[in-house]
Amino acid sequence: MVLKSKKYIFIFLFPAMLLITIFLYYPLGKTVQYSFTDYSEWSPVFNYIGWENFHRLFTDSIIGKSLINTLILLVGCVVVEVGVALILAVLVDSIKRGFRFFRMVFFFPVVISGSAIGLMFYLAFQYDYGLMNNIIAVFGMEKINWITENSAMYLVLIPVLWQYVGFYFVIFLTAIANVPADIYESAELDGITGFKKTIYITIPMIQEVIVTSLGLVIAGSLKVFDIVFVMTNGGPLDASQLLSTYQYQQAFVYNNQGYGSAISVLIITLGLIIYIVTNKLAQQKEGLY
Amino acid sequence: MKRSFRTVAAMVAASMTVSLLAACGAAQKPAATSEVSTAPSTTAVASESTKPAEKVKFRASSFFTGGDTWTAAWQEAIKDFVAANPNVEIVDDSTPAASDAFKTKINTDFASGNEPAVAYAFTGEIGKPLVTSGKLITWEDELSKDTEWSKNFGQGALDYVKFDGKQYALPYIGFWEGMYYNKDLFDANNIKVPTNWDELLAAVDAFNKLKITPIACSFAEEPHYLIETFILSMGGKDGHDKPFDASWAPALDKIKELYEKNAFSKDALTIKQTACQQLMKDKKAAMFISGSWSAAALEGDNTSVMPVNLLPGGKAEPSSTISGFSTGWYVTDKGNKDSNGEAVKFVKWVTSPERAGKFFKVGGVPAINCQVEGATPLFNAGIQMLNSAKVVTGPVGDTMNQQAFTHIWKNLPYVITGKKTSPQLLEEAQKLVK
Repeated sequence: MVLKSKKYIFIFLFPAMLLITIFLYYPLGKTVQYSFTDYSEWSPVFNYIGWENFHRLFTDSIIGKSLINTLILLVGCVVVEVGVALILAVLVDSIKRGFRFFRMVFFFPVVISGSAIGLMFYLAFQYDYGLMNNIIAVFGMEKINWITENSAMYLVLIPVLWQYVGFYFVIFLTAIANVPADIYESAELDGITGFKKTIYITIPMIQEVIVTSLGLVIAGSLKVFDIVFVMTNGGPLDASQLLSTYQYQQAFVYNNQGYGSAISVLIITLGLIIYIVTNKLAQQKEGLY
Repeated sequence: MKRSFRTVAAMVAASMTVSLLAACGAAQKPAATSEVSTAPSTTAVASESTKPAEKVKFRASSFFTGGDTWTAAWQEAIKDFVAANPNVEIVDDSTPAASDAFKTKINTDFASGNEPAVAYAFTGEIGKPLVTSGKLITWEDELSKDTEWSKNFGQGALDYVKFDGKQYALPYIGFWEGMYYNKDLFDANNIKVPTNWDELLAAVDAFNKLKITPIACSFAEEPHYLIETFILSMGGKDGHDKPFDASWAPALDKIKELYEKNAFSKDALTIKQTACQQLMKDKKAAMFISGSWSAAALEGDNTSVMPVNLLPGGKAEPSSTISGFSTGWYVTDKGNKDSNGEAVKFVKWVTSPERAGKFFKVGGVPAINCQVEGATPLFNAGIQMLNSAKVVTGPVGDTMNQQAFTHIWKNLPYVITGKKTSPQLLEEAQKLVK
C-alpha cells in the first residue's frame, strides 16, 4: 500500500522534476562547468583552465566593490524590507478603518516591473530633465548632480526597498490575522496591551513567517538586478555595481562567459552560505520562545 | 594579415564611399533615376510569390525598434513584404541597440540555438560570434547568380563586411562619425565654431559661462565615438589603425583635459545617450560627438556636423573621418530552409534600391546605389563631410575583440577622473586582446 502510494507520488512529481531539471539544474550545472573554462565571445570552442577564473575573483577590485555593495543591499533589505514591513503590518492590523486601502497602497509597488521602477527613479534623479531638479529649481536652488560615486549605491537602494516592503507587509499582515484572537484576549485580561502585545505575542507567534521572509529577502537581495541595471547600470565608476550586474557585464557586455559563470558560482555560494547561517541562527532563537 | 586586410578594406571603403555618395548625391536630383530602373523591382519580387505557396513564418531580428532612426522604415518594410507575399509571416524580433541590449540578444540567440532566420546585425569583430556559430549562409553564390540585384552593391562595401574573406553579411547602412554642433547657439552667442584645440577650449569656457553644456557625451553608454575620433585626430590614420599605438594614450588624456575643464554635462558619467541627443535637440548642449544614426533625431534644428580633428600635435589630416559599414544582413541556413527561401528573398527585397531609398531617407550612408528622395540638410552635411574627407577609416572598435574595446570605453571614466592613467588602461585592455 505504501509502495503503491509512493508510485503515485513519483508520477505526480515527475513533470515538476523534469521541468526544474531542464530549466534550473541543467543550466546550473553548465554554469559551474563554464566557470572552469575560457569560454568567451560566444565561441563554440573553449578550453578548461582549472581554477583560473576563481583566482581572478580574488584579484579583481570590482568584485570586492560589488561584494560590499551586495552586502549593503542585503543588510538594507533585511532591516528595511522586513523591519518596516513588520511595523506597517502591526500598525495596519491595529486600525479599524482603512485596512484595505493601506494594504493596496503598500502592496502596489510590488506589481510594477523592476525595470519600470528603475526608469522612473532614473528619470526622477536625472540632472537636466529630472523631477527632483525641477522641483528644487522651482525654489530657485541650483541643480544637483544626484547620482554620484558617493550617492549612487544609496540612491538605488531607495527603489529596491520601496518595491518589496509591500510584499512582506502583506505576508506579515496575513500571518498576524491568523494569530488566534483568544490569545490577545487572555493577554488583555492580564493587562498586556500596545507595544508589549506586539513584542511578547505577535512577533513570537509569527516567528516562523519572519524566518521564512528573511530567507526570501536574502535570496531576493542577491538577485536584485533590473532596477540597478536600468537606473545606474552599476555606475558611476562601479559605485553601485552589484555581483549580479557585474556578472551580466562580464558575461554579456565583455562577452567573457567563463568569468561571468565564475561570478555566478560565487553568487550562488554566497547565497547558500548566508541562507544556512541565517537559518541556524533562527533555529537557535526559536528555542528562546 | 587581418590587420592589413582591414586597412585595405577601409581604403576601398573610403574610395567606394566617396563614389557611392557622389551617385547618391546625384540621385537626390529629380532627373537622376537611371539606377533605379535597372534594379529588380518590388513588384517583380512580389509577383514571384503570388503563386500558391506553402505558408511560412520566420523571425527577423534587428535593432530597428523603439526610438531608433530606422524603426518606421523597418516596420513598413516588413508590412509591405508580407502584404505582397501573403504566404509569409515575419515575426519582428527587434531589440534596442542601447546598452548593448541587441548585441547580447543576438549573441545569446545564436549561442543557444534560437537564432532568427534574418538578422540585421553588427559585422567585423563584433559579428564574429555569429560567423563562428557556423549557422550562416554566405552570399557569394546569390551575388554572382543574380547580377541584376547584386550590381547595386558597392564592391568596397561588400569587401568591408567580409569576414575571413567570406561574404557572410550584406552591407546596407553605413555610417560616419563626427561632431554635431548647434550653429544657432554659436551664432547667437558670437562663439567661433572650433577648428583647433584652443578654439575648442575657448568655446567650452564660453558655453560654461552661459550655463550651456559644451559637449554632450554619455560616458556610461556610448563614449565610443569620442574615443575613436580623438584617437584618429591624435594618431592620424596610421596611429588610429594600429591597435594600442603610442598616440592612443595622449588622445585619451585630451578627453581627461576636457573633462577637467567641465566640457561635459555634470552628469556625464551617468547620463544616457538618448538624453545627450535630447540636450542637443533642446539647445541645452552646443556639441555632440556621435554618428550618422543621430542625424534624424537632430534634424531641423539648425545643426551641422564636422570632423573632430582638433587635437594639438595631432597627425590627422584635417578632413579625416571615421566611416564604414559595420552592420549588415545575415541569413541563417536553417532559417532560410525552413522558410522555403523566403528569408533570402526578404533580404534581397529589402536591399533593392527602391526599398533601400526609404531607409536612407532618414539617415545613414548607403551601401547600395540608390535614389534618396527628400534627404535632409543634416544628411547632406554628413555626406558633404564624407565627400570632402581625404582620409577615411573604420572605427578602432572594429579592429579588436569586444572584450578589449569594451574594457577601454567602460573604464574611460576611471581615466578622466584620475583614478587610472591612460597607459594603465590601455595596458589592461591589451591583455584582453585575443
